Amino acid sequence: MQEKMQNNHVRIPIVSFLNKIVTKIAETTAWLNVALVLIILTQVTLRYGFHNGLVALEELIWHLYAIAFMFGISYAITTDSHIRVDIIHANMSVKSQRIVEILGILLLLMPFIIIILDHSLGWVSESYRVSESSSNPTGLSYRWIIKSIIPISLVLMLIAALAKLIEESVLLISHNNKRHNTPGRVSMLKHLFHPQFQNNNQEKN
Amino acid sequence: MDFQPEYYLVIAMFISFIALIFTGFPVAWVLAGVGIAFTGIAWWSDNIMEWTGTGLDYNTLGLLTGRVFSIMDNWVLVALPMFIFMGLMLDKSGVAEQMMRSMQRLFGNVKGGLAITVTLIGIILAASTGIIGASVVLLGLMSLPVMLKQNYDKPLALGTIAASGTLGILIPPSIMLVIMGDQLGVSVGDLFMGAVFPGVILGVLYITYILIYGKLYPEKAPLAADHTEIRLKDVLRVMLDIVPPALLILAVLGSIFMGIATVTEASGIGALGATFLSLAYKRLNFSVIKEVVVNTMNTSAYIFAIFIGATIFALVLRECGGDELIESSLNSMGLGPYALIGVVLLLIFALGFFLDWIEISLIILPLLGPVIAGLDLAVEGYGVVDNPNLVWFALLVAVTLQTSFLTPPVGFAIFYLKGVCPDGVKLTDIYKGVFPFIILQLVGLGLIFSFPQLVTWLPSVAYGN
Repeated sequence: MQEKMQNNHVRIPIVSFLNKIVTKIAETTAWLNVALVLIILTQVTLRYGFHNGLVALEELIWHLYAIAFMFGISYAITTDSHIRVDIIHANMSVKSQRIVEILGILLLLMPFIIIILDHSLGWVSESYRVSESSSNPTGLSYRWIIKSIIPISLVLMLIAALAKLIEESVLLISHNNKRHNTPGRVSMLKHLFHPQFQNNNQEKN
Repeated sequence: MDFQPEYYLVIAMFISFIALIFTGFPVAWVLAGVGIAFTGIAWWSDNIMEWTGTGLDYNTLGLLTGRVFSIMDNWVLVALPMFIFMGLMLDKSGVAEQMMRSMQRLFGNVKGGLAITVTLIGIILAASTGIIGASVVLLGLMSLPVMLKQNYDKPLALGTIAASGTLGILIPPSIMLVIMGDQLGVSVGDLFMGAVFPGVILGVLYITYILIYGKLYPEKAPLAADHTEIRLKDVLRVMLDIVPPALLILAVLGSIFMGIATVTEASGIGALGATFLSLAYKRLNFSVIKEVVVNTMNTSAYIFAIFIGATIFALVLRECGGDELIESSLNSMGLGPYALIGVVLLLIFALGFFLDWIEISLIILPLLGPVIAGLDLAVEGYGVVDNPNLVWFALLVAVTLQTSFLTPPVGFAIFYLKGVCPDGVKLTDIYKGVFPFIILQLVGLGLIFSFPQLVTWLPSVAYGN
């Protein structure tokens, strides 16, 4: 999936660099899903085998799940997989699509990221200051670590959004109106769920 | 109804949201951005113009960090990425194609057998890939070429695929039901159980229709040119292919239904089971696991992005009195409880034309939930099902959405299916094909509407003991 996505990008060094940061971090984080499966298995085994579920383990489960999806949001910006209503969008000229993207990032996405980022910083440092821990006595302490996932993932989203903004602006100004592959879920799903017996599948995107 | 000046803000918010999503900018960010922008507008209208008194300001938005965190520390929603993991892994294991091949042999002698195969696979797959587009796309890519090669009538083939594909959002373990449970504050286990009969009824309706159609128009649902007598070997082969995935899904659902495992635990074990299945089918290797984990993250991320966007939108909407507006305008229509539900379902049906179930479950359901919960309905909970009204309502919404996704001209299933059709398949073929299935859907919906026991009986039995 990765090579494919990257090939569609016209090389703009700064954009590739920013995207690489997001991609590397997110693709590493994605493995938390495997850890999640294993920890759930451990939890179930403990609960049934030893009648002894662990609160700390239970909390670890949602910690990992939260990190995986929060970091994934920036990745989904980079891979352009956030859900759009494509009815009109798909029939717009590439130039209009780029303008929508640029205005959307500037007026809708960026203000949201920056405002929540601003609020979350104070919120995390407050948690750190009072050394907040789980409300359950046997739960995990250092609550600020998981809370700091919010500002960290917002920064990642900011990086991903910035990369997209630069890319779309450069392409708009340079009149590069080649329809770049994908936005839209059909092609994404096609890639995700291709039948396994077409092993030599030639994607006709 | 007492119209407050703040309600203008609510209406303006909805209009801006709808106008902006049609630009094609991601829905999650439209929701978030509109929420943020209207905080500013409300503040301006409060303090500068002194029109309203919402009390919204920059500090109100500070609440959002806590709201986002409450999505993060939500134990039940952990099931979402896990079910997605399971679905993707099952897909990678190639079980769907195995089933397709062997069931085709089994049903080779029945007129319409291939279409029935597609329906059955749709039902089994449905359980694994609760994302509507996913099952439609997968079924389309997998079975359409086979059906067309066997000279199936195009509309029949397309209709079967679209309809069976949309069953996925209803049949447990459906990730839509996980989200609905979370938003309506009802047990996900109840919803899963409640969905069993509606799912079976729709499946049976589809199959009956296909059989009758095959009898009436044999030339439109022809047999394969190379069909053979059914031998015991074929039956065994089908068993061998169906049993492992079916067992996995039954184990996941069974452990939830019997109260052995929580939904989250069952989803994790399901993900593990699917991984073993891939291993058994010799499909498992490093790159498959990597693809599955990365796609699991990507898919959960776009769902959760809408979660976050909807949270922001909802907070601001609520501060402007959006809840009261919706509640009082629904109540002021002066309808009986059942007529009111009818109106609400009609609204959801219309929204389903351009919003996916994710947006509808996250934006619309939380607004309607309190209204429905307060209605005086005679939904039998047998004393053991909590909130039987809401459980029943959630399933009605699920089937309504499914119908909406099938309905031309803009139903999602049609849109996805068109995306994977070979050249030469016209949009009108799909329209013609889905039409009978829409009728079947309406029959199913009518049955569930008239007999709420279809939904609430099973959960009541499971917990009654």
